[in-house]
Amino acid sequence: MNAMKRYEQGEFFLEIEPRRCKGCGVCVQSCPKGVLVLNGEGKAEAKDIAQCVFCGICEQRCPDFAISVYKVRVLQPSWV
Amino acid sequence: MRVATEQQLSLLTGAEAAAHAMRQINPDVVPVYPITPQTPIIETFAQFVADGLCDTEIINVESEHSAMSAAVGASCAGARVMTATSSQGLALMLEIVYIAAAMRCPIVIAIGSRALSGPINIHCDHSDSMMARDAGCVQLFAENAQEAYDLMIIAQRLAEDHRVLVPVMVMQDGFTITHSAEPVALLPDEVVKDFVGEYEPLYPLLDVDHPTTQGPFVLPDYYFELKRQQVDALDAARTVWLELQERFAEISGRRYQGFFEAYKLSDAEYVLVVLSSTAGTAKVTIDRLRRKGIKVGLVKPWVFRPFPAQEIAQALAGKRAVAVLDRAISLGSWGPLYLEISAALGRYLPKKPALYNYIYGLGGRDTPPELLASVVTDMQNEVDPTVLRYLGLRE
Amino acid sequence: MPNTKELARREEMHQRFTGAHALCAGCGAPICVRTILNAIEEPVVVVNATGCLEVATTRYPTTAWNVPWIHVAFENAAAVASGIETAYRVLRRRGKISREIRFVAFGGDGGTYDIGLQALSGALERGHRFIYVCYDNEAYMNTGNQRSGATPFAAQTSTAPVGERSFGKPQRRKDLTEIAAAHHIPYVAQASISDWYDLARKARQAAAVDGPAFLNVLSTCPRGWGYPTDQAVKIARLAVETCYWPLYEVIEGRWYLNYIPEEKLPITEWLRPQKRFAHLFEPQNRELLHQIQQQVDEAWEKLLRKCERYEAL
Repeated sequence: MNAMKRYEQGEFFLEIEPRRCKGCGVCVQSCPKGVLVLNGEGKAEAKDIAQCVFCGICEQRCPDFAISVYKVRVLQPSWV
Repeated sequence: MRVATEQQLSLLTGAEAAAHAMRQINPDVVPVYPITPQTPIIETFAQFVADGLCDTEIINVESEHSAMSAAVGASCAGARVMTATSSQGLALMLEIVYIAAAMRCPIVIAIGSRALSGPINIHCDHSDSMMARDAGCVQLFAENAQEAYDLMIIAQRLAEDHRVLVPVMVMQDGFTITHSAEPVALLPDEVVKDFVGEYEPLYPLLDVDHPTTQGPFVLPDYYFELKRQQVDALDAARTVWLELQERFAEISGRRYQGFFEAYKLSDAEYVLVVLSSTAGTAKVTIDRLRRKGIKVGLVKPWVFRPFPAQEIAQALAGKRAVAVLDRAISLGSWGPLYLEISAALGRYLPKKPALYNYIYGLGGRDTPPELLASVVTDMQNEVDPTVLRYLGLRE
Repeated sequence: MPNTKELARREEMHQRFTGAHALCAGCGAPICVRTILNAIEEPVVVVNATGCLEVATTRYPTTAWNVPWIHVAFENAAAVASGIETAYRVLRRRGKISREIRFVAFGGDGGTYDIGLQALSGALERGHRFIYVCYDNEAYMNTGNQRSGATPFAAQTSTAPVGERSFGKPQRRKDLTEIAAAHHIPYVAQASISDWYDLARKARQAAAVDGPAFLNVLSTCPRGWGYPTDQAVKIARLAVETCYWPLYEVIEGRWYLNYIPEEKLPITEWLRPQKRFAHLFEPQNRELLHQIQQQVDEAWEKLLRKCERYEAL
């Protein structure tokens, strides 16, 4: 229950750390696409990651640094 | 004693002498706010800076509370810091003085001793420094302009020793010393610079590669232990003070032996204990009384905090009577110096001399030799030691 | 110009301020702090006045700060910052330091409008190069919602409570942003946690000027103001949309408005969702609502006249 939640969309990831989440709901309100909800334990989770555009507003607004949104870059050797 | 270095003799007020010490130390930052009678210290120093004789940055803050706040900020940033104040100024900055000591800031604070209001009075007594005695700073008292100069230099080195790292207050009597000119031997600039050395801060805020959190919020589970560490700092100050006297004597020829000046003490039957400039009057009085065959001596502490209880108790052992002269009163109790000495005698001497307390000189009231002589007469007459007495008070 | 990706990337690299602090769920202060610290490119030293932010982020032996951070007392953040900034200039001049470092002081409205006003004024007048950020939650929140000089007219607080004989705070709040501007410093701005891009841009502007900068940031408080925690940003937005808390800048003494709402909402939209204003919706307090609308309208008109132009983002 306390494990980090990780959601994928291709190269993009959204992670929520439940131990940091205080269930304030600011991220839920901030999301322009309605991706996030508060679950039964009162912690944030993504109900529909396919809708996420990875704008990062939820991450920037979270008072507790519980959400992070990032892209995994595939490393390109410089000689390719 | 062979004087190690050639010293220039100048006619200087105590304030000027302190300012010269500051010039030669050339600290990084000096926040200042004016208050009589310390103002000439900062004015003289400001002129030195304006003339390029030292390159300290002066911050002309808008109150003494901000002076000490800026001093703590600069010190925690990693800079060498000094400041000066008196009386109401010390009262206003006192909140932060406690914090400066707890945050282990080696700030040297020159004090022009002045009475605390009310009523408002700009003249000398020791109520201001006594108010601050519990703050966790080292407190040094200078008798005259020479001592004011010497102690400011010693103070910087004492404060910045890594075993100590607390503020050091250097008291000189307001007007009597700050505004009176005396011959003062100034050490050469290079010698002072070498004596104080470089300040090596342990956790400077400006070291952004090694961030620290300073001044956090503490709950009952840790506060007690953190305060206990401050006790060690003041204990270490005793050791470091004694170490520094050797070095200072080598460069100046003036030795601040132990924690107090003992004047004609060894064979004395009656002893006067007094801080600062009145000790000078006491020495004159003692010489006169000695010519009449009365065996009087003087103990003049330089170090009031940390209080050298054992050393003073040992020095007073076997004396017939001791009169402690206090230029401040802890209202509701007796004089602060008396209270310290009474505790010291109680702790260390199974057999104690008779102990008397005289409050004198409040608000700058003059204390001529005749009054001090009357104290000795009282001791000879074995007056009642349970009565608190006043010198020079019109009752 | 800052964007979320850049700020997020910088934050990941430097982690200047982190979670696991004890600030309330939905608190506006960490949103304000994190936006500002991530927008500033140079290394920072943070000074913090006593208050919610300081207490909740540094319960010894834990700390949420990964930058040099100092707290001394309640009323002196600006004076402490003055000392640090001066030490920096001297040590740089004396060749002991060579890096660019920025100094940011955070104080709540209590520690800035009231007890900290003297130190702030002195520091601004002396021209130290530092940024003072007031996270304004409109009362002494850390000690339980006592009124401050920033508390709005007719708000409920524990020391000016609503009762049989009282409608809450009888006085209007001070305009501290204007007071700061009166010190003729290079940069003053009013911002809100609802407009993070505006706030990030202002933080960067503040860091770039060679002198004091003052940012007054509306920082919502769910417990003190009485609204559900997830409305933190929405309530701050309503403050801006009703023109109660305009977003503007004063650059070298010239006033620029940053946002004019398309539709200026009635002040009741800002008051209604907050329990601290609930009493104003009782019939006997209707006159107060008119008064408040009038106050907001007059202040807004005055601001429009003062501003040279509308600086669109």
